[in-house]
Amino acid sequence: MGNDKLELPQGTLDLLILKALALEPMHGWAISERLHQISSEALLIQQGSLYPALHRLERRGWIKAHWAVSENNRKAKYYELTRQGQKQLAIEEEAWRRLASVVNNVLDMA
Amino acid sequence: MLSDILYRLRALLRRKGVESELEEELRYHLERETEKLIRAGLSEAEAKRQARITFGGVEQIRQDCRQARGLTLLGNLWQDLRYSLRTLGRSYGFSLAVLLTLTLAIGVNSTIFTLLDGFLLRTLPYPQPDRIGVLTLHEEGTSQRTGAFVTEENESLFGETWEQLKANTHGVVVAAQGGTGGVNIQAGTSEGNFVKYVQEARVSAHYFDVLGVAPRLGRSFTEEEDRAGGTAAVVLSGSFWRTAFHSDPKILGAKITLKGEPTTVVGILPAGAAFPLDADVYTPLRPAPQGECGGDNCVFFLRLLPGATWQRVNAEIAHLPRPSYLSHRVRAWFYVQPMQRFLSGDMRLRLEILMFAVGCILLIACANLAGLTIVRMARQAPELATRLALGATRRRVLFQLWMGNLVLAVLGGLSGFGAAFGFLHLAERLLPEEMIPLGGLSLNPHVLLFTGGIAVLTSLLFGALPLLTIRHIDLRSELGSGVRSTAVGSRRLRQFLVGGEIALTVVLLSASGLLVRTLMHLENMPPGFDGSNVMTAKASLSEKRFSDPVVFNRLMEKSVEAMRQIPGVEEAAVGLALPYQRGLNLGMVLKDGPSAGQE
Repeated sequence: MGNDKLELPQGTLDLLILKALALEPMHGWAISERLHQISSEALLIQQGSLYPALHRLERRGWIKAHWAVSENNRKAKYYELTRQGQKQLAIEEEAWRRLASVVNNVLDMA
Repeated sequence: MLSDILYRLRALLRRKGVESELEEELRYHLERETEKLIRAGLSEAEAKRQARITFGGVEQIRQDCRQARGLTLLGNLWQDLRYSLRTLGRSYGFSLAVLLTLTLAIGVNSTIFTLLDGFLLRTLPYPQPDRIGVLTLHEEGTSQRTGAFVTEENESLFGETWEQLKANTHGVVVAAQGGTGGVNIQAGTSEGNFVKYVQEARVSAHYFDVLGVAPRLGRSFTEEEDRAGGTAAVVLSGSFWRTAFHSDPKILGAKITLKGEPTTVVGILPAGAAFPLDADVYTPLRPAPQGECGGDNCVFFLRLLPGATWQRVNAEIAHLPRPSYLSHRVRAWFYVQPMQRFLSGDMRLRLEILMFAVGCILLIACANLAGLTIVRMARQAPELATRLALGATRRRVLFQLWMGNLVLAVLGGLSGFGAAFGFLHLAERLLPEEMIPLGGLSLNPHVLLFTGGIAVLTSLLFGALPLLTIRHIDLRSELGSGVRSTAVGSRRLRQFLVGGEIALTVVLLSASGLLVRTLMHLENMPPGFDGSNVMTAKASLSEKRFSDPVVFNRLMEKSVEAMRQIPGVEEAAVGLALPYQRGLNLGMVLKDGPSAGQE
């Protein structure tokens, strides 16, 4: 475990969850593992904080949940993107990239 | 937006299911993480520990999930309510003391307010009551005897004023109300004849029109019946018709014997209607300068016709000639008084004083309760400190405390309302007639609102005051020390409370003490006669046959003689009134003392 993990800025966790679910429906633990993998363990996310975010996204109607039997033969709660969620993902992704480029420009100018 | 609301609603309704689902979801995660770490080589115990650490605080996560679902507000409220009820149940001595205090304070306040409402606030049970007025004579002058300047408002007027009123005003319907008395009725019903002693009130034609109450059956008096020598007619009150004639509609138009004369029943009033004179039967007044309004005992009502205004009527009234009997030293003029003010009369001042007194009682109760609450809160401080340390927000803890007070206030308000019910029953039985407002004493929505209002007010007062002083609970000192120490600010507040309480109590005690002493003196004052073993009876002799003095004297002699013959009777007599009762217009002149010679 390195001490140089990046902390996630406010609000980006939602974006990451939506992106992870864009590929396929997953349960909470799988999302956690996937994010861990993809970021090559560079992100510092407290695992538990996924769940309030998942519930919040569910309340907003961007993801929906159903219970199913998981790969180890136990019941788990699977989440998947809704159509609204797909649209929201596109919006947020676009907004993030734009923000990143603007901030880059400002930093380069200095 | 809509989906959000539906989601929240669904979550709320399936709360138990949602909770267990959440539980299972989080558990699943921890199991998978634990398994992963076991496969990576850790022992089971170590894997479990690591999994929990990387996961984070489970309780906090659970709470965050609940908040994310939007359940928290209502869920918190429910939880706070249950917690408050539990703590109140545990300290039942405190709760009982608070409830009793509130019941008494709120009960008497509601009772007096009902009286106040009945007299001053409640609109009269007549259509458009602001268009009904009472003719009043304002007299002022210097009293010959005392030399002081006195004013008097007089609503009891003479017949000559009636004539002038009818002649000189336009745009109003006028009616007169005379006196009441007991009369004998003899009538036949489907169940046989009966003879009854009932209350009769004399009113002019249009009386019921002025009030706006139409007879339920039949009509009110015609002008012809209202003139001297007119046909004898009677209008029955609704309740009398129900009890004596069993609501038989055939009585309308039939003749009954009233005051010894055959009288036609021309109308029946609706039951439940309230009138200034609460009589069983009404007969035509026939107001005239000679006869019924020859003395100043008639009250004249006016109702504005549609399109008329009080301004114009008042202008006409101002021109009415002053009564001829007034001495020229007295300045006088007529004006129209709103009916509500006439009916409440001199009750206004008494009611305001009573309201002030019970208001003081309420303040004393609040001070008491605030003191109790402060002590209780000091005792609760260690528990509160522990909860704060466990992570409860300060706001939540204070809210729970305040909710406990609110629950007590609501319960106290409800039981106070019930107590008021009981007090009002007592009042109706014990109060003299002039202290019972038109329409009786009843708990109506006004009173309900008032009771609720003061219940909430008292909860705010005795809840908020202690909270203000215990705003800062120092965790370390509360948890550590076993000594109960209260802040200086709290002590000053308590001194203020106690001081205020004592001041108000002294005021109330001295006032009620004086009243009680006066009452006791009156009770124990020797009446000047020995009333033991004396039985009295009352009969109505207002019948035509008794206006003949010969017949009358013969009745008196024979009655007294017959009464003397009754075994066990020592002596019998007849009179117009009992001692201390007012017999007609004969006043008494004081014989001696500082007010000798006064009537």
